[in-house]
Amino acid sequence: MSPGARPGIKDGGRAAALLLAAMAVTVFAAGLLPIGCARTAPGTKTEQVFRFRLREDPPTLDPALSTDNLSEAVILNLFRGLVEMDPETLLPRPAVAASWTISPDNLAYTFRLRDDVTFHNGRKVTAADAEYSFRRLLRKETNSPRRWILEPLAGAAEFTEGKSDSLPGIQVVDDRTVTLRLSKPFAPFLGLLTMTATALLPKEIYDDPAKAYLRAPVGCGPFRFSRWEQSNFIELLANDHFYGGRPALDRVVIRIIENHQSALQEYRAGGLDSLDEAPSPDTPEVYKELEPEIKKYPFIATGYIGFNLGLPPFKGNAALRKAFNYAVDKKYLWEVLMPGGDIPARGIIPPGIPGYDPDLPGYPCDPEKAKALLAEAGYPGGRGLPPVALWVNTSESNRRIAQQIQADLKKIGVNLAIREVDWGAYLKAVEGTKDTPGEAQMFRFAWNLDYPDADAILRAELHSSNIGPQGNYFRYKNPEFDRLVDEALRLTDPQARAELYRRAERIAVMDDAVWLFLNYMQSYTLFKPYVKGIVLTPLGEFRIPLERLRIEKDAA
Amino acid sequence: MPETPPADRFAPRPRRSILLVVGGGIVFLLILCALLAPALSAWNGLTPYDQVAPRTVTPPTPPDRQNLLGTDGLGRDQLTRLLYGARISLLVGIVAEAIALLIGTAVGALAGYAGGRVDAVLMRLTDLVFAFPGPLLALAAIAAIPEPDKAPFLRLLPEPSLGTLFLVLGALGWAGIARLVRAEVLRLRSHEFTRAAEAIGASSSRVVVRHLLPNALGPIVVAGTLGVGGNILMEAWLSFLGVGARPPLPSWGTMVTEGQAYFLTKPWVCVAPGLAILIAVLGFNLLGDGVRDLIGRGEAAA
Repeated sequence: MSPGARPGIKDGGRAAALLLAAMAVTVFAAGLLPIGCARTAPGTKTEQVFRFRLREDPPTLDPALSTDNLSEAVILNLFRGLVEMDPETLLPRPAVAASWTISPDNLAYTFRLRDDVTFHNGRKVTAADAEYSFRRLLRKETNSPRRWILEPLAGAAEFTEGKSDSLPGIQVVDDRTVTLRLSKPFAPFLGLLTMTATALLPKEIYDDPAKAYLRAPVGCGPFRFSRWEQSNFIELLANDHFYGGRPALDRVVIRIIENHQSALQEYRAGGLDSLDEAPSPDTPEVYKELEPEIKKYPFIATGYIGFNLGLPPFKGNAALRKAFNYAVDKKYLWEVLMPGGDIPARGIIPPGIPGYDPDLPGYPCDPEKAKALLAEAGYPGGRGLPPVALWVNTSESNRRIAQQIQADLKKIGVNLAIREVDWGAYLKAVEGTKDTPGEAQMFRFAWNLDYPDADAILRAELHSSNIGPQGNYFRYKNPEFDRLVDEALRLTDPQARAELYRRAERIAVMDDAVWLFLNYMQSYTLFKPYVKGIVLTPLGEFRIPLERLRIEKDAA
Repeated sequence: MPETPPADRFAPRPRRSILLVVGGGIVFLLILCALLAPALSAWNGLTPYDQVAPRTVTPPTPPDRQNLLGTDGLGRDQLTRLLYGARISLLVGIVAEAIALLIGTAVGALAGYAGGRVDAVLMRLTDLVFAFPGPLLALAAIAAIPEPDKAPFLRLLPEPSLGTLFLVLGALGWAGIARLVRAEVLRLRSHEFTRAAEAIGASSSRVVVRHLLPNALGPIVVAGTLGVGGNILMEAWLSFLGVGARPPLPSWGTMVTEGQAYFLTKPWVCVAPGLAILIAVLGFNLLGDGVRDLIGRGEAAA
């Protein structure tokens, strides 16, 4: 059991549901070889191998089709796009494009490509590859769940619908210059381009009708693909010609180990150099042994209990929602009951994201206030309140958290039922459709941000244009909130944008109490002490750049 | 080999009457615990939902003088929950068995007495229920019954999720009883007292209710007692899987599920309810066996 106590989680945007399986993060490890034995080439130092764990085979290694973090863990190391996200500052930084300029009207982005980038097959990367890759992502036949990333491009809709073969949004100026033109200003666009779906692909490989690239992907990233034994391991080798310099690691072995306990034993036995799940504090001996090797760091995701504003009793009753918020002891939940876990949340935007508000009051546990608000809501002492059920997807920690919330609400007189169902049925009951609310009145959920911008949670989850399966399951509609979030998209000054997001968040949190705010999530990753060069990132354990890692074992 | 004289069948058999005493004792204690649960936990004034572990300590906490069996994963007193859990186990066990007895006796008596086509149809129906693996059928039935908050007839019950259990376990447990009662009725039908009753013009229902069933009561009581134990086990199993009693009800099965996460480090959380299930089922089984020996119709009730 991971101490993360993760509820079901879906990634943002219009992407398909992040696989629940992918929730369990990965492990990164270094050390001995799992397969074969360490060979030392004559006259060289010991081979540097890093072994980490994935819980399952990645669903796909096609950048355009992946939406989950298992796939991303592999894709990120094989591919590069024009720009990439700095894992620490979360700002876009140059990758294949050495530099870019943005026109004064914020519509045209001109990228200048590096001269020294080659694909793994040896061919030089040019601006035409960017055009090919972006057209492929948008094309209807590709059927990419991440097509929306490039939808801001001028003419994108007509191109996707097949009405036009030309795409005025992309202009190849010369071999090393490409201009992207938007139909209207969209501030987070550069951030969106850092997503792996926009990776640059070689046409000669990806036009293959037999789709051999699915089993042998070719990109221009720091590692090149070696082999994939289904349900066993994926092997990557260092790309000697990587434009950013050859990685220190010679080889990366991604082992597929489904069971958490087996993976933990493997890590302890030295068969993994890193593991994505830390041992639970419930097993004190193991926890103590491994505690020095646990890296704990923020993950840009927020956990909450959503209220369905389309159904009674929460519909139009902010006082009731506030009463529930005050009744639940979030501090106890995350600091004592699920220790070593996440941070009690006060609002929506998680720490590390511009717009995070350290001064947001939130709803500290206060049963007296909760009782007063419950009476104000029309249910003094809980009398007259219709049956209310909290929905959770099946998991040990969910059950525990739900019962704690049940006990806290009982103290103010509310009898809460718990509905525990599997992920598929759960999503259905939560999402509803565009016009009809889902069946779940209250549900535990978490949202991780697709790109490190408050827009990726405030708009994706709470803007009235996203009501339904797109993300606004709560059917929240507040014109002032919508206006602030829309306006923030038109601005480019980061300070001014952050201020607008803080104002919008205060409306949704303090005025409307649209959720029962629970936790800002954290990542936990085990690393053997000999693994150096670790860059922890709020993007999650899969996004720790492997090209920066090195193994420093004492010569024995 | 000389045939055993009939009188010996009722001779005291000391070894076996121990079963009766031990089984009866356990069941008696169990009923006592269930009835007196509020009083027994009154010394610390707890309900099974009260969190007693301080909010600075991560539960479960080990047994101490305050909490004799420690606390569970949410800091609730284990002993209090066990005592109240006895109420759930007994209630489900007995009510479900009563339903099963009612259906089983009616079906068995009708089939046995009417004979012919009625018998054939009813017995094939019984075979059908027998042919399904009980636990799987129970799971399917629970899935088919609407959620308590949507079924008004279940909402009338004090605890809707238990109502579902009553119905499902009762509806699945009657087949064995039906066969047993039919066999008894067939056997008693040919007896002279039945013939005599029929000869003086007693109606069929009178013959069945006044003459046949009272004489078949022994095996029915035995089967019913054993059935209560079976139901307790099934309730625990279904609750263990998360489809039986709903949290926060302190069902023993739910308690085992919640405790298994701590099995290696804080074993008291799941061992205590596990033992409670073991003892309760053992008690009813011993009692059933004891009663069977007492009335000397072991074979019929087996």
